[in-house]
Amino acid sequence: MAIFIYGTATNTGKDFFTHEDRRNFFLRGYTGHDGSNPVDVWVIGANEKGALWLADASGTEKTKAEAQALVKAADDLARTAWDNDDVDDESADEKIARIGSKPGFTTIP
Amino acid sequence: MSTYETLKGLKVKFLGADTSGDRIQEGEIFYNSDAYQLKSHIAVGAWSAGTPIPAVKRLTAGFGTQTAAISAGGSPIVATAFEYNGSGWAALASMNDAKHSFDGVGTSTAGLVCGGVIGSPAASNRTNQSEEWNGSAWAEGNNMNSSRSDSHAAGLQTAAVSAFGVISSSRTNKTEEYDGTSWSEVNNTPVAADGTRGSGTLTAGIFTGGDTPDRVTTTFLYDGTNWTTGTAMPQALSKHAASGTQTAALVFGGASPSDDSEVDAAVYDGTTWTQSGDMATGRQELNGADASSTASLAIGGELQPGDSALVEEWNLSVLTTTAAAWAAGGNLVSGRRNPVTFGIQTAAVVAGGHTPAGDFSTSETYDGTSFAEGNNLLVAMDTSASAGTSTAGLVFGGNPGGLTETVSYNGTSYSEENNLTAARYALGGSGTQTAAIAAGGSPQTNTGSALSEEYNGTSWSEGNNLGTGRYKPAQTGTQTATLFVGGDTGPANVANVEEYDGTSWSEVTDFPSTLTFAASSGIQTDALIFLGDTGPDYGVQTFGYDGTSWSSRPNMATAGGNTEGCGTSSAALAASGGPASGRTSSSEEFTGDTTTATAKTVDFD
Repeated sequence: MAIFIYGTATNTGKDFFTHEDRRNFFLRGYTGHDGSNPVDVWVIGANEKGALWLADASGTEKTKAEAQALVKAADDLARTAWDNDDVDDESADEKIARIGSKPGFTTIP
Repeated sequence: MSTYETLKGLKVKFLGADTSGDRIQEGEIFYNSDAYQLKSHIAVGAWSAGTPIPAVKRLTAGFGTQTAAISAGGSPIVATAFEYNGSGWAALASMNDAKHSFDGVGTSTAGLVCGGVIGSPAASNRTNQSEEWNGSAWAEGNNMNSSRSDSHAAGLQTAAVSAFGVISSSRTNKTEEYDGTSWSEVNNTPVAADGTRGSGTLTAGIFTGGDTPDRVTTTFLYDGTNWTTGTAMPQALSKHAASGTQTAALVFGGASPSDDSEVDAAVYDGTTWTQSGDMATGRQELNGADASSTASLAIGGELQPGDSALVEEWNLSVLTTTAAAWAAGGNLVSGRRNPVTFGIQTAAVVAGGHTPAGDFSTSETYDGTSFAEGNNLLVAMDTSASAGTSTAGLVFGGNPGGLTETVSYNGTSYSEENNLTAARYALGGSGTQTAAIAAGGSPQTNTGSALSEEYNGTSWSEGNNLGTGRYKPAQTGTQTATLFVGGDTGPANVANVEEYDGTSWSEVTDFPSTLTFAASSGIQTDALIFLGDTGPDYGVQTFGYDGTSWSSRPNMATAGGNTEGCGTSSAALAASGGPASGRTSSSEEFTGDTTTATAKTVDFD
């Protein structure tokens, strides 16, 4: 049996997931991108309550590879944005002080 | 006719609610005048989720109580040990030898582990070693007379009995006692078995189940000299967990006759076994705190397939505990990295930082449900620090360019205040609008500053410096009792933690890992630290600090950092933030463990 369900669902804010949800199943959120817009990618514990939560959230189930690709697309965009965010005469340390270190890649479980 | 007052010496109390007054006592009758019902609180046994142990484990040794439990060793074969304080786990000193398939007895400050398997294959690597735990370190004790694994023990560090198990690849009936110094062989158990589990004391021990090789329901009682047979358990079990005493015992989990991992728990009152509440997750080869049948722990175990880090807490009580957890809060109007956050979970302000539009001066208020735009900061402020409440806040320091800027917030708008004496960004801030403290930070050179300054509602004055200068810390508390966690010295991220007493800083217990850009809530002696970069990456980790030690709490759903956090250790808010790769507009709310009492209606049928 699979350990996780993968899916996308827009985080609508308050009580999008509840304390009870967090007690009932594993949940991790990641920033993804579908080529047009940012998407919220979720890794969900593979039990009945986890599956029902994704359905109730009007989510779309994905394969792990699809979910990872969405997250990588967001990482790629962030890394490119970081590379392009330069200020004249700014040193590398000053750039890190201004906008933080260059983003890495996220691997979902 | 006897009356309740005659029988109990008390009148039946009229109460407006089930939990009011002093009537949360098992078995005592009261009248709920709001519900028009005669009621009583009845103890009910139930399992609730605890914080998972930091490592996936089975075949560990466990001892202590539910709120001071030690779990040591285990498979995969390790020497590591952890302590559970009822909320989270803290790493302890490792045992002298890595081992599994052994057992422990005693308390969190005076424990004993014995036997086990110290290598592979198990057949040639059983050990007769014992180790004593004194609350801070393990020391080799004298060896047992036989090298054995899968045995189980009952008692204390200075008066223990170890029985059953495997010696030389065969199930054994040999029993040994420990007097705090040396082991001696005593009367054999009635049968040879392994997978048996024991609890109680040296002179009143109870050992249940096991494989003989048939999986059995047997209960054996030990009085310090002789073995007798007690009432059989409701079902055959092996490799389960046990806690409590000879007259109040609990068994849970384990392997059924068909080798399935059980969720069942059963309570023994010295005469009769009663099937009780099930665990959420069935497992065998688990362990737990063995001191009590009314408050126990199920730690790790084998799920079939796979090993587990899951922890469940057993409570037999009129009170029901709901475990702590993070939940989704409202979404910000504009997600931002490096904002300040001040206030409480249901009345907070998130201000400054980078928004996607590059705006550094916007400010939003949160009412516990939704965020709304408020009046802007007076200038752009990024990576600043804050103190105070949503109606009396203070924001100071930060970027761009290294700021001395200080502004106050009155619940509606920001006003200019006297500046910090030294410009710096990524500093720590805490306290109130009229008694704040700013510590650490960096003066635009990416080196950590040790400066700390105090604000009295009018002006800043320099206080004594931090022991270790750094920026990007998490800071919480008051001006006279501050907690400063982690940060970056410039050359390196650190795990150092310092406390301020209003006069000087002192180094205290390190955070479990290096940590930068984390968020915080609470006070110096009851703090919560969450999010942040732990070295490998930005995380979802949450840790509590009790003024002495760190222990884990349930994780958040989404990793991040670069935000401050606010609230208390039991009602915290993490809003927006980074990491550097982006900005989230989401927020999460932490609620600590809650306890409620539910009364049952007295039925006259």
